[in-house]
Amino acid sequence: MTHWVHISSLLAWQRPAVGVIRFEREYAWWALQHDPHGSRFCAYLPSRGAFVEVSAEQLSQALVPTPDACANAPAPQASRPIEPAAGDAFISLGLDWDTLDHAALWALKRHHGLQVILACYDLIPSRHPAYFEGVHQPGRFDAYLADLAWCADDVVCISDHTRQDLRGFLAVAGAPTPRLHTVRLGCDLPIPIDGPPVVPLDRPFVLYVSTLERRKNHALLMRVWRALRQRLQPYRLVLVGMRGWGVDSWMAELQADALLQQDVVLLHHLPDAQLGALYRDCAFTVYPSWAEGWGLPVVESLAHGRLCVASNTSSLPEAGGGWAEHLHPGDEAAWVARLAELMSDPQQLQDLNTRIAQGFKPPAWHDTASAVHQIASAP
Amino acid sequence: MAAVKPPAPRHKPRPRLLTLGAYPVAQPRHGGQVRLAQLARAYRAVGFEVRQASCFPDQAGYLELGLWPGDIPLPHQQLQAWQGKAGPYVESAAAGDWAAAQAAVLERLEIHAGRVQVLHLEQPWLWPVVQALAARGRIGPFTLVYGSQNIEHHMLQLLWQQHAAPQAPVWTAALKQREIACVQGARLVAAVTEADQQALQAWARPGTAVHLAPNGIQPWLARPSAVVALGERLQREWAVWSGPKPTDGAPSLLASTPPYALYVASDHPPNVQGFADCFGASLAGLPPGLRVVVAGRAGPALQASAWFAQHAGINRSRLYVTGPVSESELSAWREGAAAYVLCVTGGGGSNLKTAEALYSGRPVVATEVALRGFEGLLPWPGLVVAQPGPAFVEAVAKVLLRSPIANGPADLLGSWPTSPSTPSTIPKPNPDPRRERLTWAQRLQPWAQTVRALAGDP
Repeated sequence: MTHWVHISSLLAWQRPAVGVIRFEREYAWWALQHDPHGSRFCAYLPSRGAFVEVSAEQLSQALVPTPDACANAPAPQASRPIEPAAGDAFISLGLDWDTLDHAALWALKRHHGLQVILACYDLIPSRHPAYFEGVHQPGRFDAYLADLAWCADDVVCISDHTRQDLRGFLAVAGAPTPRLHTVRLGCDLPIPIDGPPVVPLDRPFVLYVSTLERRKNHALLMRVWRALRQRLQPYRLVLVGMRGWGVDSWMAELQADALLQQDVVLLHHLPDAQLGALYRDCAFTVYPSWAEGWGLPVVESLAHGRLCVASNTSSLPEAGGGWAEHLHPGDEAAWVARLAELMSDPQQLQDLNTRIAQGFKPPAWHDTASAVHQIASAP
Repeated sequence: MAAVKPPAPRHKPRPRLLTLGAYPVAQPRHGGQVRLAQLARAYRAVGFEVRQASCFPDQAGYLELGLWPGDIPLPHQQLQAWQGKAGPYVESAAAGDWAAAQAAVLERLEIHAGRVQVLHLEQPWLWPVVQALAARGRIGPFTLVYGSQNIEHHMLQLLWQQHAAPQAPVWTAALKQREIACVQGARLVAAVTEADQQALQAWARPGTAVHLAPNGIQPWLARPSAVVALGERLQREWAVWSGPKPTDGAPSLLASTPPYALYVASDHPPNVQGFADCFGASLAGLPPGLRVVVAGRAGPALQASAWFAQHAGINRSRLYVTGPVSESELSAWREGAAAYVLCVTGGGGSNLKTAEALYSGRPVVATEVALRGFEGLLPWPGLVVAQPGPAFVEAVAKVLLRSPIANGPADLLGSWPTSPSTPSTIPKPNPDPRRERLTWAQRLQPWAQTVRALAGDP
């Protein structure tokens, strides 16, 4: 029985890995190391309407120089379409709503009798389409979810919240429900933490690692920091993430507010070494997002021994696992009060961070990949 | 000596029959129009001289289809109330009362008809006009025959209730009385289903026979070039894969048109409701790549419905709406269909689309209600009867997946005509001789002959 690992997203990715790419990459890396004879790799070529094989060597090149970086490595055009045997597994964990043609996968599955394992990260574009206005064609994600339900025998959901949300969606839409599993993303990458400081350390700072988009609720932090200024000299706020969509209004606000500019630092496209240094140097982190499918930055913060004050919505309490603190993303007063307290009481903050550093055990990518492999290997 | 002129051949005078309907039939589109047009054809075939007339609201989309001299548009603003109350779906009923009160309308009908031996009233809407024509006597002492397509008050009651019309009970009662009057005023009555036949017979005066004159089909012939062009268009529009075919001989998974099930329907509200009832919450019950094509005005109405909006993304990915199509375009869609669906869950009468679907020779997934009027033809090869909801969707998915075009690259490449030089690849019609029993000519001939016998010679 062969496991066909679909890596189209990984081959096409050219930036530092986001969570989805990280999952696809970590699984491919794990399969290379731990299942070199049972796993083979493939990519979908829209220009040919076919899945073609990618050799282990070609995959290794895409993962060079470290498993942390992605080199853009186009799928080989000349390869023959894959010819799976009945009972083989097909595993796709990437940006399937963009890179996987489900009609083609469905045809492949029917033709060869494959067991198909797909991932579901969240249903946010479906549940909260307003956050994606102008980004996704309305409803397209719903169609992807229905296609996923048809193609998959097993769906790996990255949180219980996502699993329940998917189950509910499929039931209401009248789509079939495959076997749904929760497999939590790993968070044990060796992010180097010995680099030089990225921001001046003349003031303590609070870190928020996330794409800049409306759903991530940076606007709340702008209001909170203004309010904090009325009470105390706030910590600096360092926002790390590439600019997405729907953030024009608060960014314009920031540019027009000279005082706020003294408190807020925006950083984009940081290499992991700098991100590690930021986690090392920050006082604590925040994550006021309105909706998530998991909350990897919350776990990353905890893995670095830093308290995360996060939203209490969607999957975030699950990601926090009892170690993070949670507030409603719309409750500005609560955020102001708690952040002011933490900034005014360094001892309390230190105690919290110490407790996390000593007690929190981040999930390991090895365990994540093993769990997926086990699902794919089940009879 | 002058040559003796041979006597001119004497043509036996033919009895004249006037059809009176609530819509023009110059270019029949919806089922009612098609039936009325075919009735006229059947009457001609048995020796009647047929005059056709209609009175209809002037905004019902009929004007663009062309009119004949006996087609009289009525001002729709005058038809928004019936029995003194305004409300939805009253135009047809109001049209009868309004037209009967207009001397100009009656006069125009009389001039067009001349003296007739038989008047065929199709549906009860224009009953007051028939009464007025009889009272004026200018078209002669005619025999009335009544063609029913439905038990109309049942269907309208449902629509009025759905729209929470406060007058629903009053209108329903009035419409029922009108239907009863039609049946009791006629010498012969035509029903489209056995159930309707029984209902109408219960109203009839002793001695009035209610005959079964079931709906049928007009055989169609698709031009191979049109079918090929449609196939190529769909390959472009539907297949994600749109590049050149693989040159290495490797088959593409998406190298051909995905199979589709065809639903042909007008925007009559029960057609939209029936589709929603049959497919459930959304079209998510169909695997990726399979589609339902909705031909006719039902498509835009469906897209505008709350049902569609609820899961617009999913529905958009699995539904293709042609909008109104010409007969030749429709023929191409029919030829390309891997299956037909008949989503009838309410209303009365018998569905013309059922006859067409059965005649197509393709697999058909139908509700039990859709087969009303066709019970005598069952079982039918390739017909799957399914309850609306999950069972229906599952049956549609199954028949589409069983179709040659869904069964992998090897079949894919051979199943759809890919160039005008391969017309022979158009699926062959079902050779079952029973198909011929579905034609209008065979379905209506007994009825037309009965009416002809009744008319006698002028």
